[in-house]
Amino acid sequence: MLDNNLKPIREITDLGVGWTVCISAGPHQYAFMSNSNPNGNVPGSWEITGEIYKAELDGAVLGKFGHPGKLAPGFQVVHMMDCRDPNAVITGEIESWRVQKLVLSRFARSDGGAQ
Amino acid sequence: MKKALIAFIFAGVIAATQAVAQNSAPEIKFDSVPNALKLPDGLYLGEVGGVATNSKGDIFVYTSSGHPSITIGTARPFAHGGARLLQFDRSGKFVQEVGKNTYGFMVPAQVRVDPSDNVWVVDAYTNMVMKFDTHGDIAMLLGRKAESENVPARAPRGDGAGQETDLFNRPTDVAWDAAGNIFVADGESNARIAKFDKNGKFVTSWGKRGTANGEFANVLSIAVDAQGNVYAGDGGNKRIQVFDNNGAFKTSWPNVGNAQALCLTKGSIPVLYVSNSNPSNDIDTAGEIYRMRLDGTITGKFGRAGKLLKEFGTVNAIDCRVDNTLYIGELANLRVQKIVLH
Repeated sequence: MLDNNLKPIREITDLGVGWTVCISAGPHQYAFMSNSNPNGNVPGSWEITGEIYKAELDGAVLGKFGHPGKLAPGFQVVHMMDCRDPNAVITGEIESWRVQKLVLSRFARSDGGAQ
Repeated sequence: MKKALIAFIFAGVIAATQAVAQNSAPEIKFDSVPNALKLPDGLYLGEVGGVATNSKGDIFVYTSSGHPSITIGTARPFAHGGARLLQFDRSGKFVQEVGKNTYGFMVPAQVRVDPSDNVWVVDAYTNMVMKFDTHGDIAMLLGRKAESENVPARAPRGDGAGQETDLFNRPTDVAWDAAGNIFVADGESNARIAKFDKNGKFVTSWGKRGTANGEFANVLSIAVDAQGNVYAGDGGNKRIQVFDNNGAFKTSWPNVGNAQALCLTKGSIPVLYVSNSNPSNDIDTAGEIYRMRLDGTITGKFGRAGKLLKEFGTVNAIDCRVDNTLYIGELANLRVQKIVLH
C-alpha cells in the first residue's frame, strides 16, 4: 500500500497472488483482493486457489469468499473486479469466459461487529 | 521354446478368426434418406466433425463452415470463427445457429448431447470441451485455449500421456457415465482418456502412446455403457479397447479397423456402432460401419467408402439415439446422412 507519492505505507501479506485489487466507493471503503488461481499452464492449478478477500484499508482482513471451480459461484482465474457497491462485487474470469455478479451477505466480524 | 511356438500359433489362430469374423459379418440392408437436413439459402456444411440428437429429436451439427480469422487483441493475435454449431428440428428443418462466434469454435472434432439435453462441443484446435445448456448458454468449460497463436501452433506430442488436468492436445470426443462423470478422449496429439467428476474436477487419466494394452495410437472416439465401462476407439491401432470406470484395462477388440466413430445405443440390450472410417486421402478404402454386441461380437455391417449416398467419406460421428435410425457425420463428403437400417 502506497501513499499518493508512492511512498510505501504498509504491506498486506498472506492473501495469495493478489491478481486484482479493488477499492470500493463510499464513506467507508473496503479493499477486495483476489487470490486468483494461476492459469492452466500449471497442471491442475485452477483447483488450488481462487478465493477473494475483503479487508479494511488498514489491512485488517474481514473475511473471504469463493473457491476455485468451474461452476458458479466458483472461480477460474479472476482477472478483474468491480466493487463500486461493496455488497455486490462483479468479477471477470479468464478461463470460464464469464462475468459473475456476487451479492455478499453480511457476516459477523471477529470483533463482534457486522460487515 | 515350445511354449513360445504354441503361443505364436495360438495368436495367429485368434487373429485369423477375428479377420474372418470381420469379413463374414452379415450385410445389413439400409437406405439413406435424401436431403435429410434442409439448409437455408447460402448456408452449407463443411467437414462434419459431429452430429448428435437430443431427446426431442433436434439434430445438432458441428461443422467447419465458419470463417476462421486471426484477430489482434490488446497485445496478442488469436484465432476464432472456424466452426459453427447448427441446430435442426426432427424433420431436418434448420432452426438456429447455437453459440455463434463462440471463442472456442475453430476446428470441429465432435458434438454430443448428454442425458439432460446439454450439448457438448469438442474442438480440436482450441483444445476445448464446451458444455451448452438447453438455453444455448455456456454452462461449463474444460480445457484451455491458447491466449495467442504461436508457430508452431501445436504443443509437442510427447508420449501422449498429457497432464493431470484439463489441458488437452487435440481432443476428439466426450462421454458420461450414469453418475455424471465426464470422460474426454484426448485424443489425437495426446493419447489418453481423462476423467472428471460432474463438476469438472479432474479425477484421473490413463493411457499413453503405444501398442500395448492400455496404450493408444490415438483415441478417436469414446462411449460409456450403463455399467460405467469405457469403450475407446484406438483407431491407429485398429481396435477398440474396453476399460472399467477408472481406467483398468478389460479387453480389446482388434477386428473393427480404424474405429474413428462410436455410438452406443440405450436400452436393455445395447449395441455398439463402429465406423471403420477410410483415411481422408483414400476414398476407396474400407468405410463400413459395424454393429456389435458388448461382448465384442460383430452382428452385422453396412456401407462402404465412397462419395454417393449409402457410401461414406471418413465418418467422424454417429448418432444412434433411435433404434435403426442413424445420423452419420462425414469429414470428406461434407455432409450428414440419415441412415435407416432394415
